[in-house]
Amino acid sequence: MLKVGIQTKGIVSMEDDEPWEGFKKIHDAGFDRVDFNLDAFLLNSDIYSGKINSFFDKELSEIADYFLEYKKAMDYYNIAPSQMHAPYPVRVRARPEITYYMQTQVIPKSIVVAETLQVPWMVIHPFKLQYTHGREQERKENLEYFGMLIPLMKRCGVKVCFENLYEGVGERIVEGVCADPEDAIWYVDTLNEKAGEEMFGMCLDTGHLQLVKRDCYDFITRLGARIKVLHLHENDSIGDLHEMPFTFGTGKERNQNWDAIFQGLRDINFQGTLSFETFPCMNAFPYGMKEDVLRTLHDIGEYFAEQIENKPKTFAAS
Amino acid sequence: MKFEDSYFDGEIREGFYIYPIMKRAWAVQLEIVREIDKICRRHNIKYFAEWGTLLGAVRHKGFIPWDDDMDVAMLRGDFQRFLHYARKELPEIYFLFDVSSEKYDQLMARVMNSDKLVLDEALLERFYGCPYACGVDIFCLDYLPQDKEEEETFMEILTLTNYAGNHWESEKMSEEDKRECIKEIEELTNYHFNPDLSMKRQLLELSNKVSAMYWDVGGNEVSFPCLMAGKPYYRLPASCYESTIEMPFENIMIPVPVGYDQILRLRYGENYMVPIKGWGAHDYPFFKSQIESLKKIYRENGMEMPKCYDMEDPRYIVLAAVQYHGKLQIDNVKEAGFDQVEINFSEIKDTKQTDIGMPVSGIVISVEELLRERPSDILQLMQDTKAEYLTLDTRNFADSERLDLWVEENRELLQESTFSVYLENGYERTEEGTYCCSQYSEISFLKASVDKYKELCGEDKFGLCLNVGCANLTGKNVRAFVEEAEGGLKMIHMNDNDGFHDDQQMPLTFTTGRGIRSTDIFRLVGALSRNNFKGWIVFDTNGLFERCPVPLQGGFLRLMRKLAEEWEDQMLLEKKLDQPRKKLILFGTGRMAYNYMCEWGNKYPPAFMVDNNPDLWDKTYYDVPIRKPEAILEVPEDQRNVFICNRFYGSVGAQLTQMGVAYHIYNDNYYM
Repeated sequence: MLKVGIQTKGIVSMEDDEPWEGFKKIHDAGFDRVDFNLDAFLLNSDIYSGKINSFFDKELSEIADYFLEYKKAMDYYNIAPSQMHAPYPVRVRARPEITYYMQTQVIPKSIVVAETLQVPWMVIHPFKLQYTHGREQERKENLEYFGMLIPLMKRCGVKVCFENLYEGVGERIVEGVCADPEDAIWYVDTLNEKAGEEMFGMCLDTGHLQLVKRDCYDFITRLGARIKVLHLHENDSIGDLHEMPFTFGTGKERNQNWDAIFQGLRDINFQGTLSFETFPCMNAFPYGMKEDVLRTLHDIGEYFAEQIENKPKTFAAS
Repeated sequence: MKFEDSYFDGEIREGFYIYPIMKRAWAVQLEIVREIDKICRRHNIKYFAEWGTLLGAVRHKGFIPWDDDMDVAMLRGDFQRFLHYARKELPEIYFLFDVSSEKYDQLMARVMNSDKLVLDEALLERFYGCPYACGVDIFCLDYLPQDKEEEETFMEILTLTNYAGNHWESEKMSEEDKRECIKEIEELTNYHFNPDLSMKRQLLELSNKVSAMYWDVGGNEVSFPCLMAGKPYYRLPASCYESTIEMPFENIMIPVPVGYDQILRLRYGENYMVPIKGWGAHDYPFFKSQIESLKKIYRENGMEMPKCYDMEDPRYIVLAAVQYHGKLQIDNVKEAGFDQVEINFSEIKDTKQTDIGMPVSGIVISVEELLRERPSDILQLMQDTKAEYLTLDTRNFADSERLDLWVEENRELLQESTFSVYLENGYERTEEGTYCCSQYSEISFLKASVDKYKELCGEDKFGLCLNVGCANLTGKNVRAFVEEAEGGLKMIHMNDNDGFHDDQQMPLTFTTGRGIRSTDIFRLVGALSRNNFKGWIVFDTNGLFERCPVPLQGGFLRLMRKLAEEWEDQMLLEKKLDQPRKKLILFGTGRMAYNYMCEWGNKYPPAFMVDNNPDLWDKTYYDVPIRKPEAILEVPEDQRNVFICNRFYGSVGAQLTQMGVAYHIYNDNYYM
């Protein structure tokens, strides 16, 4: 059966170096995979506002040692990380010093943390430049930067996933880098070619697909085996709410076409982890209900696995 | 017996509030058990904790929090010897009743501290200030016949004598039934009833004699034969009662049967150690009628009964139910822990199918439908379903005069009915598909309408229902709604939406950013808590059940049930804080402590706060001293009331647990 995972944000404590309680909750709910939120150690809101904390200032070995306790807790509860989310954004508009810090300190150190935690796939947001600098420049800069990371990635045995992103223009959500399947395919294939082996893949974010009104089945089947990890969640088709599946809709109509996602994943023979990126649920429900919310999400994950595995194939995956 | 003063404080155990007067009644019963114990020890009589007392001893080391009485049991031989010695040796202030006692019609014996209200001051002091007569029931265990055929006859006789004894004076038995029953019993037993004596008493005595038939023969199995009919789990191996083990029970030790685990598994299932709130066979509290008698005495003397003698039925604060939907699997509802479902009239109006496999809490009907249907049909529906309320859905209804007229025309019918009627806030849906306020969205109008209807039909007949989804669509301040509704608010229809569509979704799933709730449900619950809300919370989340796959219903229903429990627990906050004999200690000196001080600081000031940051020790915050966490241990366990008052519940909770400190959690989201 496909494995079911959950992101650590909102569950595993990042603030007081006490990961045991959170991993226990994840384990008790039935999960055996996690999406490790390294981005919780340097929040994107802080990066945007220029308030960079000192977490990634530490020496590389000190940072790696810091996560040994997390590794110990995961091992104890038989939980493996299926993926990790790196801090983002990696390129910050009009803040060259922060961009430099992110690219030279945070991301390389994140790759080492991924190695420490034995994370197979790390999700890094590619730079979002197409509205300000044009798509060509966006591709050029991304290619340059991620190409530079290849030797370190190989040394650490860590592979990188891009994510289908959106952008906000005039308070509307519009497609961003990798939102177009052809764009995503270009990035993954070009970088893999550069690496000489499969070092890059795609993270399919179902909520982002919904926001830019993409046909889920089409997107998934076009990307095919390039899809390595998932961010499963849904929204009201207006904001990036990261809510639990089956929340939004009218009458019988669901906002998110989960059936198309199941069919797509079935047809591409997806064998990765069904990982939920639904941290707002953990904050929205009262503290004492975290375990119950997790259990509900795990039930949904098992249902997803059953749906994907039991669907007849309609498409011969390449 | 010696009890610390703090024992008599109100206390929350397992999320259940135990009133101070109940603690006093418990103390009286513990005193009675001590007297029983003295006689038993003196004469080498074996007795055992039984029923809830046995489960309480094993699971809670004391009373089950929602239990109110104590029961013990003895094997027949010991039972007879106990009655013999107790008649002579029980101190004079106690009363012993058994099957031979006049005006007592039970098979079990009972030791009581009084046969009426305890009004004498000396006695009142002797019995811990409890004015109510308390007793301990003593059940008699009998051997069952070893021969199957014999047992069948034995049980047949007992079933008949019991049934007739219990219903002799009720309308359930016609004269013909009685004649036939007596004839049958006489044929089976060769016993002849004396028509000049009380039949009820003769039946009781016969039941007792038949139950005792095998007491000197012995056997492999024991039971309370009169209670056994149809309940095979009352049959227990005699070996379970061969000897006793002493277990702590509140502040005494009580003997439990050596086979307690087997007994409890048979009666309550494999998971008997997991507490499930349930109620015994009698009213809670057992002294409910005595409270009324005491109130009457005070009233007759021109006084009001002191509050300390009173107690509401705390068995529920929140009555949780879920609205029935065609796609909802009733088994899922039951498994999630809901006892009742609500029916929306629109779901059943065509089929009139009301048997949906679960008790019905109430019926919701749109006002337009109400006005269209014949009132007698609605009444019949309410009777058929045994619904406790009829909620009037005012969505898209504006003509209040028609509703006023309906209430006026049907006032007699409503006065005679047993259900309550709740008027719910609604909205007006425009042709463009947007939602706007109607007069029925306004609490002032709803309240005025309900007051008017109460005047016509009676104070308890009408109440208010807050539909959270409708309030959200019309941009209402739900906290203000609750505050203005005051005690008139009887019901919450809990569902969530995006503010633009009547989605009827699971509460708390509409968020922005990092999980900031779009609907103000926390403050709503805080307001309900502050306003001592007691009533229905019904999840009318049909949108969710429309869209969510059937196999996932159970998970979402369990989440709703947990929410109801969380909210019920939150509504006990003030009772947790109101512990005058205990020192209130807050763990945390940050934003949440600030919010606590703003909301509750004046009413329930902390004795001190603690913090892990040494820089703050010996300083003050809002004039409250800050100390190191170890200072908590300087306050004796039964004199401290510790609240975690910061968002690090997990790590601080672990720290306190390691220190051996029990604690509550304060969540300022409900109150800030």
